[in-house]
Amino acid sequence: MTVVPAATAEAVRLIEAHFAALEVGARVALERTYTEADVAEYVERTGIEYPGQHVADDGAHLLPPGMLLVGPARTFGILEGPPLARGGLFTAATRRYRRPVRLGESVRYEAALTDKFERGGYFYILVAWHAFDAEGHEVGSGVEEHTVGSARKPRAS
Amino acid sequence: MPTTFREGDTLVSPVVVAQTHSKGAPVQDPEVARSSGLKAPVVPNVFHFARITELMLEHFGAHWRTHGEIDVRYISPLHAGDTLQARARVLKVAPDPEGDRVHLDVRCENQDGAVLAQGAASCVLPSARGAASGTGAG
Repeated sequence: MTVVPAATAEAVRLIEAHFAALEVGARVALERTYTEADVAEYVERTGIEYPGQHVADDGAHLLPPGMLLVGPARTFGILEGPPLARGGLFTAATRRYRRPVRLGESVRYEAALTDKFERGGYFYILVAWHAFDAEGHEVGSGVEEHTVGSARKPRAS
Repeated sequence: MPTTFREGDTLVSPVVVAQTHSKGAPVQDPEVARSSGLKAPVVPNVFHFARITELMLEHFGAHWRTHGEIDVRYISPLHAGDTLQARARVLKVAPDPEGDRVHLDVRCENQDGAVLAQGAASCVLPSARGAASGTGAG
């Protein structure tokens, strides 16, 4: 018999219900303008050197490529509830970069939930996205594989 | 930045100590990690990804922002206090409609040499560069 802490069991219950309600094909569009504060937080999370390599020839500060994405947890995940129900974990990522993004530039994202599946007790979503600048040029695209929450169903004994 | 890339060249990032962030996912919280039976708070995979993309920027420069492509799968968790290093190896340099494209395998390893993330990356070279003889990247 597998014993699951009560807090985790509640997280799994919420995740499973949320996962069941997610519809493959659901789409989200959002616009974002990255600020110095956004970059500062990313730098703190990753420890990269900034501006370092992120300076254009004309001296403008550029968005670190790792920041260009639609967060799967923010768009299709759970934002409230027990800790292990919220957010989730990236398990794979595909990115294509096409144009640099300058700090302060507006980026429009179009994202879609393209698949969902269970594996090893975790609940996964695939989110495909494209990002465009103010002139409509694609600046990048990607596919993110991500878990819904960080809890998993107990394995059968 | 190297002037050319040749099959077998190896690119290596500095070794960094993994850290969590107070505004991160719940599994980064020491108390949540402890109560969930984790050995230590889990460092988000954005940390791995940043190591690889910084390594690509170092070697491909601005071209990474316009022609860079990457596909990474995360294999094992990185815990706070572990060290992480990104590595890439040139597999081939092949013609692409926009120039020569360098194909690499990429990975992140911890202090024990365990592979925590791996995948593939590629980037088109500036037109003046390519697979000619010259200084390798490794």
